[in-house]
Amino acid sequence: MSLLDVENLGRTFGEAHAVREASFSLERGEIVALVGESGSGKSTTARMVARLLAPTTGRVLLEGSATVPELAYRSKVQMVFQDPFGSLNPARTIGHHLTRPLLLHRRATRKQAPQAVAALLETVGLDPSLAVRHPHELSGGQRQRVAIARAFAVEPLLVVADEPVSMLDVSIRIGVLNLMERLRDERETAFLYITHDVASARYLGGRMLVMYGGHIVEGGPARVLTGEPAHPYTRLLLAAVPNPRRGSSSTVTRPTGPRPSTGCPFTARCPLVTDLCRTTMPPVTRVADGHWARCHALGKENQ
Amino acid sequence: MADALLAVEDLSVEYRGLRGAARAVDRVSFEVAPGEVLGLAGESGCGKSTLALAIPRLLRAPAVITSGSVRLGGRDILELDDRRLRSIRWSEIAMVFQNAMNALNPVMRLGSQFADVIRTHTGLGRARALERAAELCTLVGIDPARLRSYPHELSGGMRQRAALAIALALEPKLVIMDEPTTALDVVLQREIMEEITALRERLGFAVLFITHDISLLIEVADRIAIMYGGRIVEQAPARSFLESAAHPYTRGLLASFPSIDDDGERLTGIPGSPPSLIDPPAGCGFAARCTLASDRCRETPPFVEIAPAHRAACWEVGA
Amino acid sequence: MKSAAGGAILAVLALACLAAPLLAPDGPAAATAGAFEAPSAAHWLGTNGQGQDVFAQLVWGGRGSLLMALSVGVGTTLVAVLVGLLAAYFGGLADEAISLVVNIVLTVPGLPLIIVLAAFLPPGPATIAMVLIITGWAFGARLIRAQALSLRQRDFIAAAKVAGERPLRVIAAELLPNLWSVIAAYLCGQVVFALTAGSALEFLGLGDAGQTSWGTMLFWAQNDSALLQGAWWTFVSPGLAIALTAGSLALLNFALDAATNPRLRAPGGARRATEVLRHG
Repeated sequence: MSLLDVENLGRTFGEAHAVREASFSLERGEIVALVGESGSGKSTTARMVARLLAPTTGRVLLEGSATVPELAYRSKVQMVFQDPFGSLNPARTIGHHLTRPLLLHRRATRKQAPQAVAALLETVGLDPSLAVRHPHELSGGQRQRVAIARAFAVEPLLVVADEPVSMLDVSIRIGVLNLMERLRDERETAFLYITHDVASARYLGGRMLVMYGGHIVEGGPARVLTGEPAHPYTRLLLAAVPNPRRGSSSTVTRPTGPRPSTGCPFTARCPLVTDLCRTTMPPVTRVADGHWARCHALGKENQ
Repeated sequence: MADALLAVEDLSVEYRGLRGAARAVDRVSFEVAPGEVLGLAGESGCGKSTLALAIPRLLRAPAVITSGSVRLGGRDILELDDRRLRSIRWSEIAMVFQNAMNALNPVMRLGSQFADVIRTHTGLGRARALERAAELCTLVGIDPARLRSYPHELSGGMRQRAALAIALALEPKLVIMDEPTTALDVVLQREIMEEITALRERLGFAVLFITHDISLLIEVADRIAIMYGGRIVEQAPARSFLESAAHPYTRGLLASFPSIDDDGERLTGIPGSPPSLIDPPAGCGFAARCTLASDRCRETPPFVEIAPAHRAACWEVGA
Repeated sequence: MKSAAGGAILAVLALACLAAPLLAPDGPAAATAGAFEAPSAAHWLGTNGQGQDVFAQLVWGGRGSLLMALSVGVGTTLVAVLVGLLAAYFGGLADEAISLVVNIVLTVPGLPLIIVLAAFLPPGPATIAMVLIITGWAFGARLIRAQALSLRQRDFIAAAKVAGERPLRVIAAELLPNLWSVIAAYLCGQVVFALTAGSALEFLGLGDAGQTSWGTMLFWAQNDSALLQGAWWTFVSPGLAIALTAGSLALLNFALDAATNPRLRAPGGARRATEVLRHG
């Protein structure tokens, strides 16, 4: 039984399909990166997994059950948000942010809470004296560490991390990614890491899912996907990443016209597009062990 | 460089507040040659955006330029009277900001905003100005029909193209770009960068490109200056940065980017956080985060040439 | 500085009213001298048309006026906060229903309704307070709702939900602390409004003329033709008291405004810089 099974998840906002037919699973202690550009549906997927948003179709199973009660779900699935300036309450102290989940989920009594808070802050590499401070007194990196500490207060099995480093300064991003990796190793916590940064997804290792136009279009081990991408969108994404060592190579296709409502979402930008792509969403095609993609061209190329 | 287009010398900017003055830019000097792309890299709070606003004298109280000169084609911008200043802004120096939505007026159609700029500075009639606006749109890859749109009707990438087009309206010699692609995803970023490169080759303007993304700079810039704690700590041709980055901060920055093809090596980033600008440490601002720091670092290291065209401010590499 | 001045003025006024039994032991109604005597050592603020001491009336009457204003302020603020928060947090149908009621109440012309209601209900400060609360909460509810709505979009609210907080707890412990400055400013404004509107109603004769308050003092001054008699002290005293109270609260309000977290304000640097570039 997987820790998390996402089955055929979909979400619409009015007419717009933000997420369609998203299926994937996560094992205990596994890091899965969900990579895509803004508007790809990756954050919507994250919010559905974190139960902040109800799916329109499909379901999310935690340890095989789709009906885990609210509080029990919260004690096993936590979330770290993108903006450390928005995810902490400006009117409350750091201590408040960490004490509340401890008390709510009975991880500590009121008496034990101060020590537990201090221990949490030390776990994420912060000085316990910060507990009495307010968020605006902390730097962005410190705040994001507080947000991670808050998620870990309940000793979760899964942490949904929605672009946790994209708003941080370059020199401290790696520190936060390393912290996530360390917590995974020490506590066997799984991460669903949402990002637009393919390189950081590869850095964290694990598996990678590439999302485009609401569909997960490719999935597999991060090293394989970044090395031998099968889907034309993944190739485009990789070519666009600034890479001074390899030197610039790409000529980028420009989007032409709106995203189609049927068929593959990538048709408007795809160099391999055929008439079939415009009408039918490609099925999941196996590329290699644990590596799959949804593209009609896969059968025809020598992949 | 005697024939520099822009020569900034000894420029300092302070923010004067109740708790004392914060020196955001500290005796910064650099030059940009005609047609050159100078990359200015640094993290938030290093002073790079303040510097960008100081050059066309766009800073507002409590920020004050306390020393230095900014020479553009031989004239010191800091000495110009208001009328002369107005005449060179936009026509000789233009700017592109991170978030075009902030730079574009949300309640005016794109065409009117283009026409406004063109008419204010050239005295063209409205019809001629709109024609020129359509040319500019075509130039940056926007359908001229889009001139009838309001900024919010455009996608993020389109808005950034529009901001670029307006900046180029009067064929400036220098465009200051402050994180122009940071709000975009990589594919759009790549498109805009390719657009900028192509336009520069055609029109020959120079660019001061400000970003936190040093790997992007290594691809697009001719030379790169690294800013830390209000000072330029290293400056060299872009390609030197990969092989021979000298300053420990620069090396730390480069070691902060996971690459798309390295082999699982563990990166460390830089521990600690940038220095306070209000009460800066004596000597080298990076000493507190530096693994090479010694007693010498309590004195400010000079910005010296360590290789041809390669300068750095660090005691460890200067000797 | 402003807040200190405002607070000091308000404190002096409130203390004088609280200490009324000490400052004017005879009470407000005692006719202790002739009508319309000018201010003197015996009667600091002179006497009114009934021969009552104006100073005694002022300190005794202030109790009623200030109490009424404060209850209206607190009452409208409570209703406004409750309604505004519920509408903003729960959204959807609840929000639409509440907003409909709020908009209807807002379109009802306030002052005429107040006059009509006050005329039909038994006169007295309690009636006036009730009327002012009924007509006054809607604007505040809209204000609080708007503020709370923008806060609700912020991730710290989502984070509190992920932590497992229940809705009421999110409202009370996460939303509310961020609204204190708005609520305090609204409270100040409502107290000022209640004081002036309440006094105006009493001046129009819609209060209980038998009870002493700053408004009824004005009513009687008018009734006794004080203006024609040249007895300026009878109407200037309560008028000044009302103005001073309102002014001190406004000063307090300024201070609250300045203390509002500047981090919540949106930056406009790039737009301003572009405007400067564009127009020189």
